Amino acid sequence: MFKDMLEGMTQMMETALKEKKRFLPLWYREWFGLFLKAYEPGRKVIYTSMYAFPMELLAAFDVVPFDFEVAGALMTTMNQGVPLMTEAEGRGYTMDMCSFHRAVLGGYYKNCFPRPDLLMTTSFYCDGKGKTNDLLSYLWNTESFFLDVPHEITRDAVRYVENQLREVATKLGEITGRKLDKDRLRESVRRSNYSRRLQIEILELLKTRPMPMNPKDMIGYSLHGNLFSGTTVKEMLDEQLIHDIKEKIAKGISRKESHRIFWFAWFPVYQENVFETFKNHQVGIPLCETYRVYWDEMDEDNPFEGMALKCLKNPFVGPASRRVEGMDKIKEDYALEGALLFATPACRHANSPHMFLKNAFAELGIPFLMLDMDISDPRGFQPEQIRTRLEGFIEVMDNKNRG
Amino acid sequence: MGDNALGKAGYACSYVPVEIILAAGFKAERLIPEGRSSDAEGLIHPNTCCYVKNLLSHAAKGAFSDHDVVILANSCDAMRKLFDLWNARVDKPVALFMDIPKKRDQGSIDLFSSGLRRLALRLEKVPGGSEVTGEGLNEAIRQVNKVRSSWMDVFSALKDGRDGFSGAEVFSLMQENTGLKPGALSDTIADYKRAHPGRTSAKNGPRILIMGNILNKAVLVSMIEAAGAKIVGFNTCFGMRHHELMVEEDKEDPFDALARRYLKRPSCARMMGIADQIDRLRSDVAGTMADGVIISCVKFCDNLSYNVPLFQETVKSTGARCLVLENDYEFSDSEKTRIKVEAFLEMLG
Ligand code: SF4
Ligand code: SF4
Repeated sequence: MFKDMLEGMTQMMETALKEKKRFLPLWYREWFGLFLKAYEPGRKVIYTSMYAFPMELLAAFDVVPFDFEVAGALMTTMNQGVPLMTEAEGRGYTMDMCSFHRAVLGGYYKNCFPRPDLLMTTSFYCDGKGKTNDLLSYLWNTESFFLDVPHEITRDAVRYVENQLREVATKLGEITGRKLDKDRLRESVRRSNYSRRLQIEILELLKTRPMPMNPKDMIGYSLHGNLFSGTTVKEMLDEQLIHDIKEKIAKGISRKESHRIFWFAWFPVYQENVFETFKNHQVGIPLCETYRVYWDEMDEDNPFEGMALKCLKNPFVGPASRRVEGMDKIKEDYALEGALLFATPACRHANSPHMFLKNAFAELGIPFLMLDMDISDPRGFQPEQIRTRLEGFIEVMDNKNRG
Repeated sequence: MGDNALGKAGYACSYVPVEIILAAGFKAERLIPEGRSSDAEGLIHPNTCCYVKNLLSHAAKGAFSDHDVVILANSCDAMRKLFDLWNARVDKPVALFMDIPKKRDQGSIDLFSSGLRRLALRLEKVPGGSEVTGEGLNEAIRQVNKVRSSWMDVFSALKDGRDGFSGAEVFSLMQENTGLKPGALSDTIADYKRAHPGRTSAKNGPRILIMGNILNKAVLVSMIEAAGAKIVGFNTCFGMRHHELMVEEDKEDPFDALARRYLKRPSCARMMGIADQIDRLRSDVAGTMADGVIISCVKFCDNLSYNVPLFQETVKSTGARCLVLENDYEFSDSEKTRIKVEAFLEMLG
């Protein structure tokens, strides 16, 4: 079922690309195409959490990364998520669990997804991710690896993460039958560093008013784009994105923008009315938390340390205050007038410290909204309630402007 | 040490090595708040573990201000965020953070051991704290090992129906032990045994193993026993798994010995390795000859709730029956719980 869906969507993207080479169909084609490879016989499939795991390491091996949360989310996008979730719920998985994880566990029971050769995830962002990885590994009877990333950055912590990454490299070597090629890893780190520079360029372009990119695509790419970190595909996608944005700016954007807000955490993957409501009220979202460049360039000659530091510096590791570091400058640079936390009910680590985010923005004199809404389970979605909340928030920004 | 200490250090997770607290000259006290979780909901997201919310609402009202320090561990997402909020919202006592790996390999033991060393240094600096010496730590290790072995006697007596221990009595002993008084505990247990010479468990009802996360109220225990069942074990946060496995004594590096023991002890659901946890459950059911397993789960605990379906399957595969009971830490819906428990026990005959 999932495979058919991927094939259909890849086909659609090919057709769109024949008309004109654009970022969005290019990104989708590469993404779906990569997931499709996971079904090819003989491929080594590595379940992973691409928005957390340093994908540069996987890029140095001939493996197919497959993100189990994203796979579940894609099913939801195609209106196929709920049957998977109900399958899991029927087997005792509570609705208090993240809907991403219910979907992928349901997908396992319904035999939807390809068989993994190894499963690996990280201790960040959430406990649920590690638990799901562990459960899937048990159910598939396949080895798993858990990248434990400590809370504090100390020399011991860097060494700890570094050693675990070396262990992963050994495992990948065993699975593929080819030891780590150091030059290939160096190359992957070089590409990742280049993509990091391109990302900084994109972030500069996003300061343009009105914002020159669809906000949902921006948030989505900030997360899912990591699937290709360290590869030529990521370079190609970033270059195309820069080209498209520049083209759009050059043509001139007639749309008005009344307010600009900062977006925290994730985004709903089903048909919803959040982005449409913002669009109707001319609210732009020029930046989201997951698109910030928080890590330094990695040393090509010391890639394991570089990747370890990239993990340790993730704003979701360590104290919650990290998530609002440098926000005063961001407020000025992006002319922000509000901030929104997308709070999917099971995301304890992202939502629990909402008070920190709220206070940080209160200090900057900016209204903050915590939007409670599920990420992937549309069953409780109440469009009117969401619209009312968003309009109330927009009104606060309007009044502030007038005031 | 411990018993005579003047200062008090609170902790909320069974992965916190109390030995270090004692060696730093504090009394170690488990935090078991009796407040209202909902009072914390302005500070923390409502869908957060009810125990954590309760801790926060209590702390924000100053209810732990008689403590000199608390140690909060990286037990789970909720506890980690509690530390952030504690720092922002609670004036007294100060909180120290303790990271814990989720794995048990040598690298994790080494990292944990160096973290414990840092924790000791920080504790020493808390007013009232004293230097944690190797000798002092080894002494604390010996003391806490004695407590552990007393507890293992109690759990084995409960399982075998010896010494007349009821589940309710063991549970209340578990709750009383908040101060972890190493000297006094074995005396209390000995006194108890003397007071009930030769008493064996009178109950012939179904044998029930309670497992799960934090269980702070006696209500569940008493309703099981009131319905005629016999509790044969507690595999909860501060039950059997908390006390099993001794720390190696008199090691040159006691921090390493502690790190090893705390990571290698039977694991809580927070640790990676569901297969080990399933094996352990299977052997607990066999070892206690349980007819039924009640999984008690504080709401919004992802670590445990993700495991529940496989735990249910495991219990079923042993021939025993399983009941999952979710609670809000305060057991505010105890009537509903009672109905479920009674129906379950009736089914077990
Ligand atoms: S939404 Fe939150 S809880 Fe769900 S997978 Fe993502 S980080 Fe984890
Ligand atoms: S019960 Fe679960 S969520 Fe609550 S503190 Fe314990 S491990 Fe964390």
